[in-house]
Amino acid sequence: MLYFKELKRICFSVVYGLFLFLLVFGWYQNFYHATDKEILASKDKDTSYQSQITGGSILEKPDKNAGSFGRKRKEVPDTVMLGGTDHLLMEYRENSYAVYPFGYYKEVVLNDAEQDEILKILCEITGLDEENLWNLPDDYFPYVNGNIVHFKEDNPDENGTITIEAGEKEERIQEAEDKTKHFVPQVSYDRFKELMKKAEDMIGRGSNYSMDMLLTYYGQAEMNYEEAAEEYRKTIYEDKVSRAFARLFCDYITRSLGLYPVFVAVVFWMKDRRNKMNELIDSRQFGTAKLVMVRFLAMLTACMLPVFLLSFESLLPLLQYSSESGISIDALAFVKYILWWLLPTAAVVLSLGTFLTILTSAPAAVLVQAVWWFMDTGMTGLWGDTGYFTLMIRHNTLRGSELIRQNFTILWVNRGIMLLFTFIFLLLSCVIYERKRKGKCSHGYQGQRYYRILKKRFFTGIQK
Amino acid sequence: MEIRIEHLYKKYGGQEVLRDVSFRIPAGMYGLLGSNGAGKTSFMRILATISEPTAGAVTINDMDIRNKKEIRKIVGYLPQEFSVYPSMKVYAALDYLGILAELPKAVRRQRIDTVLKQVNLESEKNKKFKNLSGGMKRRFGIAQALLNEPEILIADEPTAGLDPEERIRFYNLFSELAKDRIILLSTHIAGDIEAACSRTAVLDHGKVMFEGSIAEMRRLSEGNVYLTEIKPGEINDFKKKYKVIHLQQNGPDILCRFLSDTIPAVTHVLCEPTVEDSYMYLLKQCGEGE
Repeated sequence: MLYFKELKRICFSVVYGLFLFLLVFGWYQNFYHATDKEILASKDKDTSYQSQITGGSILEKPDKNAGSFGRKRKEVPDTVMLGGTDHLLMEYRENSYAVYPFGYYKEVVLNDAEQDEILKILCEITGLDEENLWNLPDDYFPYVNGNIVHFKEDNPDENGTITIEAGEKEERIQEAEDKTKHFVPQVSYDRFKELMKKAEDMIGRGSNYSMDMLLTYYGQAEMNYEEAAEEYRKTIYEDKVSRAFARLFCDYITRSLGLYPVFVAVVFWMKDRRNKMNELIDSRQFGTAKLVMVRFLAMLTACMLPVFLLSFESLLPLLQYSSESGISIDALAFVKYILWWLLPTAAVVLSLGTFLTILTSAPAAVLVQAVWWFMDTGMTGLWGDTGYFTLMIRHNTLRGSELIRQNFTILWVNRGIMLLFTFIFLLLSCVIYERKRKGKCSHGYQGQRYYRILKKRFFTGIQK
Repeated sequence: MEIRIEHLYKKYGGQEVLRDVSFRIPAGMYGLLGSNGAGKTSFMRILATISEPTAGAVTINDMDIRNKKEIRKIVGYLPQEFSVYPSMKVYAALDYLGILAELPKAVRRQRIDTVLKQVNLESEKNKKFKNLSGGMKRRFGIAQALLNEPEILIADEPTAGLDPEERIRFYNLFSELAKDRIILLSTHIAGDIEAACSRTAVLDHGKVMFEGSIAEMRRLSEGNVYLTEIKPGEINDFKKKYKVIHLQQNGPDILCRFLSDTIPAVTHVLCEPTVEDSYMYLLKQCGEGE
């Protein structure tokens, strides 16, 4: 009974309205219409979600006579070495190296000794000396090289038009060439990896030369028909279509659930004290653990309910697609993925918010959660990069079901750890709240005091 | 039915707010009198089980105060400062608190109707809490404290901020409720205690200065309360010599009620003491003692 009362109280609160707005806004910006688009693209009526070219849908059976079958993740040593060297030379020339320690850009400028070391690395990889490296021919690297685009002297032309010659790179790699005219690696792939590690140690954590980054930018290759057919088979029969969409849906929603629920938890728990209701509640016989659990479950329900509802925007077109095409889909894919992928994230965020708000009687949890969210966002790749303590599992693609299978154990351990954290935070919340109910714990008063001081300073600062 | 307090101490940090408090509270209306900061709220919070004693023992109907779950079943608490989620309606708020009091649905409904009638808030049950007047909010406070039909009702400064009419209505209500339970109310207004309670305890700086019946309390200052008339210009000198209880304009002069241990050296009339006189007398004694 209390559960429904609390649920109603949350659902009619301003902070929940804000939560809903942010959740729906994020979903609308990133995922809304993605399913329809992909289905239409399979009928060549729209562009695919992951392509700007009409067609190319993951639901489209590959045609043997097609010119291209799309790209896939593949570690081709020559491609990786080509891209990594090109990038390193570009940054060396400018002495401006980009690093992303927590996913956010920072420029690094090296001293002369370090620049000399980078030069040595480049010389070893290319087999050229410093003078050669500063006077390379325009077409030494392909014009399009992963995420790098080189422009010829006459490109853009007088009209400002840029011409990009695609498909050139593979041809060039296969040719045995003059190392002074075109890039020909002079080291083995293993030695190249060692040199990149050395470069990263000098430039700093999160540079473009970690294997993760090199593979993200240059670890792709054109698919052939057989590979494309295999991808299609996986989508239709292994993923049952809907699982691919459920993963992408979860990828976007998890970013919202990794942060916004903390506002719901903080405001909800602070309401008792702000409305001077805490003594009326504390003096009643309702058990502390029961109260904390019921409120937590009500908050969790309130946060997950709209997620389930939003999933229908994708599920309904897929059901229709299934009935029209005769391809069977997993109708429960969204429910399953939401439960194992998103629920632990929302739970741990809510429980942390609950614990810190009960402990401090101030909105400290917002700050802590924001830091956690930023760090997690910065440190987690867009797919296949889940660690034991990753808060938000990412899988920003409709393909790559094999990544989920490969990381299956780590994903489950990760979700287990998040649920364990949830349990620990809730347990601590009960202990602290029980102590407060007995008037034994004064952290709250201290927390509130510091919060008031900070708030006063902040607003005084704004007024000035 | 009895509350027994024995050698009760309460410390917040290094500050002792209750010191060796011992007395018994029998059934009926019991007043706790003391100035702000005397320790009344700390004492009541302990009885309401939302604060724990540093030392000493408290039993309610022979049940140890640490047996919180059972104590909370028989205690109703009206805090000095309280409120409810502003947008919650009166009935819904009582229902919410009833759930927290673990009352079954049918019992809750019946109890809510009864208490709303008792505090005369029936017609306001669909009003949002934020739209209630100050008096209505205090009446709501009583209603929520009565929800679980408590054997002991603890009301901390229940009439603070109320107009005289509302105050009288409150004490009448308390008198009705006191027939079959203990009602412990705290106040710093001695007149309220005299009007409503049969027994009282006076707290000052965490210590019990007096405990007894109202008649005994009055007798404390017997022979020490005087009335005299003084000129307005003499007030300051007079205050230096005597403890003034109150002053009242009387034509060009001022009628002054005051305390004196000896026969005053001014024209005077010996007065029948009130609880307020005795309270002031006790405070004077304390002041002199310190």
